[in-house]
Order: sequence, then C-alpha cells, then structure tokens
Amino acid sequence: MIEQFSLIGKRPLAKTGSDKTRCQCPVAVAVFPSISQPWAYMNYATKPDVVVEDENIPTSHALAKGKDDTNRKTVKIRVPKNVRNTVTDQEENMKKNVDFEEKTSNSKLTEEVFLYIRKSSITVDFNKNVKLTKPIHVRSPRGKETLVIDLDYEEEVEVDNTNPGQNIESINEVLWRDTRLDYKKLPQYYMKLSKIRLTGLVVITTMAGYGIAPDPFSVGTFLLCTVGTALTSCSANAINQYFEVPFDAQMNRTKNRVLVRGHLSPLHAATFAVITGAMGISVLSLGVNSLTACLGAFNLGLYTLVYTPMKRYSIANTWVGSVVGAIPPMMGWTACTGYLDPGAWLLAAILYSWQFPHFNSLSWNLRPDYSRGGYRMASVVRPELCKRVALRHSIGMIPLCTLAPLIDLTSWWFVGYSIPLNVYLSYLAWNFYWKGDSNSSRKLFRFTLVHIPALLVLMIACKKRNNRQNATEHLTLGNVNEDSVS
Amino acid sequence: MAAPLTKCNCVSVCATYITRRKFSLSQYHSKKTTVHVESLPPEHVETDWIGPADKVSNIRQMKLFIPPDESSLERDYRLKREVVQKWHHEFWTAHNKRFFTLKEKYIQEKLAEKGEAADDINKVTPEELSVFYKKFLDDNYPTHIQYNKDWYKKNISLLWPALKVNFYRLFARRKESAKNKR
Repeated sequence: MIEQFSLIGKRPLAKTGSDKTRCQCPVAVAVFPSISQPWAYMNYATKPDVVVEDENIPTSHALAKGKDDTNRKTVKIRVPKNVRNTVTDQEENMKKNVDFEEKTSNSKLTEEVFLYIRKSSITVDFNKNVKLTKPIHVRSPRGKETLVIDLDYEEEVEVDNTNPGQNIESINEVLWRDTRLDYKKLPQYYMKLSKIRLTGLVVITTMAGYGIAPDPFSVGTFLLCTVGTALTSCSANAINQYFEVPFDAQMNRTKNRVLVRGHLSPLHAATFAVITGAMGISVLSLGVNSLTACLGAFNLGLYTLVYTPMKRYSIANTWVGSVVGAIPPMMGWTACTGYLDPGAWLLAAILYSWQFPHFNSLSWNLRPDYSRGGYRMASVVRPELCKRVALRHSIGMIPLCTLAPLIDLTSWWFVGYSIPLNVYLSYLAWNFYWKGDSNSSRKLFRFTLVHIPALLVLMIACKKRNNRQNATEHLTLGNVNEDSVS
Repeated sequence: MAAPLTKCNCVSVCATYITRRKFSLSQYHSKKTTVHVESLPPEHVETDWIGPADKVSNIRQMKLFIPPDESSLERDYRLKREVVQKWHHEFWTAHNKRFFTLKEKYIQEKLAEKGEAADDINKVTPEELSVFYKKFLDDNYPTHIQYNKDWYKKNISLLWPALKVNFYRLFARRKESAKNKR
C-alpha cells in the first residue's frame, strides 16, 4: 500500500504499484514507500522534491519538462571528495542491489540533477557524468512535508595545496625525526634562525649609510658598526621566529623554518636572541657611539615588540615595518658622523618610501596565506589602499632623490642618473595599480630588489666631497707644523 | 626507511607506508593519481621526536620521551608542552576547516551566479576570491586576537620551566644519579 505523499505546492501524485520505487536519477537513490510519484522535482527551496521516474509509467522526465505548471530548478550538488573516491561504479552498485529489492533502470534524465543542502557544506552530485553512486536514503516522515535525506559519510575537510600539511615537497617533511640537537649543523641553524639573507641586506643598507655620510671613513668604526648591526638584526629575526612558530607552520613559504621543524628548541632560540642582542648593542655602544646603540636598541624593540604582534592586529604594521627598514641607514650615518644630519633623514626617507612598493607587491600574491594565517595585511583588508600607497611612494622617490643635491648630499648627477630608475619604478607601480594582478605585482617586486642597490651605489658614487673632510685634514697638518716649529 | 634516519636508534625505526588515492575527478587532483604518504611514530623513543605536519592543522605532533627517573619538574614541563601542542592542533584544525569549507561554499556560490559548471574553479577570479579573504579575516578577527594573546602567554610561560629543566638535566640529575648509586 503506497500512501499518497503530497508536497507543498506540487501536483497530486499518482500511485504506483510497487512497494519501493527507485528514483531513476543517475544516482541510486533508495526512495522509500512514501515517495512514489513521478512528478516530484528537485527544488532549491527548503522543501526538496525528488524526481522520480517509474519505467512503467510512460510519463517521462522529458515530458515533465514540457509541463507549464511545473516549477523546476536545477541545483548543483557535489559529493565530498572522500565519498566520491570510495564509491564504486554506478552500474556495479545497481547490479549488486544491496539495499533494495528491485533493480533500477538507467536514468532517462537528460539534464543534470543535483541536491544542495542549505546551510551546510554538504552537496550531493547526481550528475550522470560523474560515476558515483553511494546510495542516498531519502525519507519522508509521515505527515510532514520535508524530505529527510541521510547521507551517511564522514565529512572530511577538503584542503588544497596552500595548506603545507597537504603540500609535501620532500620526504623530510613526512618522517618522524629525533629532535636531539645536531651540533655539526648548528652554524647552519643559526644562520637560518637569524634570516641571514635579510640580515645581510640590512647590513648593506647600514654600510651604505656609513659610506654616504660626509665625515671621514674610519675602518675600525665601520667594521664595528657592521658587526653590531648584524648581531642586532640576528637577534631581532630570532625573536620574530620564536613568536611566530604556529603561524609559520601555516604558510608554505615559512613551513621549513628551524623552530617549526624542531631543529632547535624555543628556549635555544630565545637564548640565542638574548645573547646576540646584548652583544650587538654592546658593540655598538662601546665601539661606535651611544646614539647608534640607542637607534639599534629602538629598532630591535620596534621590530620584535611592535611590528611582530601588530601583524595580527592592524594593517598599520606595514608602516611600522617601513620605519624598521629605514633606521639601519640612519645607524650607519650616525656611526660615521655622530649626529643625525638632514642627510640621514633623507636617506631614511628614501628607504622608508622604498619599503612600500617592495612589500605591497610581495604581499599581493600571498593573500590566501595571509587570510588563512590571520595576518592583517593591506593587500587583503584594503587592496585599493595597498596599490595606491605603493604607487604614491614610488612616485615620491623622484622628489626625494631631487632633494639630495639640495641638502649638499650628492651632486646633481645623482638626480640625472636616478630619474630613469625612479621613472621605471613608478611605471611598474602604475601598472600594478591599474591591473592589480600577480604578474604586475611580481614585476614590481623584482624591480625593487634591483632599484635600491642601484640607487645606493649611485648615491655613494655621486657623493659630494665637502669641506668637512678637507677641514679635518687641514687642522691636522696645522698642528704638526706648529709642533715641529716649537 | 632507515636511510634518512641516520641518528636514530635502529630499534625504533618508524614505519612508513604509501597508499595510493583512488582516481578522483575532483578539481583539486584533476585526472592524476595522488601519492599519499603517511608516517607512524616510533614505538619507543629515547629522546623527543617530532612528526610531520598534520594535513589540516599543519601542526607537528610530538612524541615526548618519559625518562624512568623523571622528576616532577620534568613531568610538569612535559605535560605543559603536550597541552600547548594539543591546543594548537585543535585551534588550527577548527580554523582551517572553517576556512576551506567557507571558501568552497563561496566558490560554488560565485560559480552558480555566473552559471558555470561546479568543477571549474578557475573561473572564479582572484579579485572575487579576495573579497572572500577579506571577509574571512574580518569575521575571524576576535578569534585571532584571543589566540594570539593566549599563544604569547603560553610561549613565554614555557621558557622558565624549560630553563629549569635544562639546568636540572645538566647539573642536578648527575648528582641525583651519583647519590642513588652510592
């Protein structure tokens, strides 16, 4: 005895003689007694209907399509990957007939039928092109109007290759490893912990700052300044890695860091940071001067205690990070002259402005990683601002470089040589602003890596040899003469 | 698989096996078999071992060594570390699951709007995806802040016990074992 089952808004349904009618959708749907009529349709509304087609009844799905009063929508549904993978061939399933007594015929449906279950991540693919037939039990509770569809599978999370756990690039990433410290590899670990390449670039900007400063070049001070800055930078990077272990684990770019992989313990990294920081600041304060040491300590604090946590709080971290990048040349300058001339500020301003096209273009392609890792970067949160700022500061390099001869830092040749560099940078930033795609951002980033070394070299080459250096020499000569006379 | 594990005790070699995933027609692994490598932790360890990154949470599991003469100091430290690892794993599993589920839903909505086939995820442009990324970040901001605060506290609170344990192992333990021998 088949009971009439009428769905809201649908036509009355015909009886059939069979006890259980199989839905002739491409998927094997076990339709229970209540649903036996041929005219129920899949509906995207909250009350899904099931398209059922009985081979005995001549009315076909195609005919049903022609009916005016039928309201049908195709809804796309996807079976989760883990279910799709484990199901067997549709025909096999039909033949086995494990759950049902009747055999079903192949589907006469000509279009795709899907089932979408709202407010969930569950989708069921009835598409005949996809060979999947996990039997789906459809129940209609007596007296109620909604169908209950039981999909008994375990919902597995589908992750993609942006997830480092999924993206295996070497066998070392899948093996269990002893965390005993390998002393032979310790220098290598320390270099990785201190981000040696980044430290190197920071030290180069400091050396450039020293070279551009107008006072005489003293090899001893220069070396001590370099060593002190290097140690301070190592310390800053070690602390940064110590704080960022779980976040680094989430991004492909940083998943192989020393602390993430467990080569060094967190205590080891923290101790390294404290020792190198103390050594660096001491070298700077004893070997160079206290102003440089203060700048170094300030920069260390800014990077580790302000910039690192701020990355997760607000997009203003980019501006703070730019200040962090601008201070090392100032340190080089003060190491040479002992005080902050306008030239030091200009050099800092140039490095500050450079950080924006550099970082904003880099962060453009890392938006998925930043979003999942919880980093608040302008490229994700305010993309238009991100592009605008990069453009603004690229164009701003031109007036900044023009200021250099005006404050007696370099000759006018510097402006002449730097204009092509800055104009090209602005052009790439303009492209990035308008196109905003991965190509233009990558081009801009790569050029910034060329732009700043070239600019610094030009600055040193066009440096104005001023009276300060000559004056010092003259005084020395004068003293010698007087001494020899008396 | 003993070759890469040169420093380990030969007795405790971890077993690895490779299973092949079935042929899948999904867009992520389109039309090619994916090799899936899994690695089991060693049964007995003499030191702390660290494992591969979890598929969903990306956090590495640790198997910590329990010495037979473990002091309360060492035990406290070990338990704290295990708690922190577990906390990381649970947070990131839930978080990443949320991310990928919402991303998938968003992609399907966008494709439905455009009228494209469900498998063609390349039809969703990076600009449209960036809308989702921003929304996800903004929606999860309080969660991230709380996690950050908790992580910093936990991280720093692990330093002092670690220092004590290291000093104990260097100095006090030798004294203890010498005393016990006598």
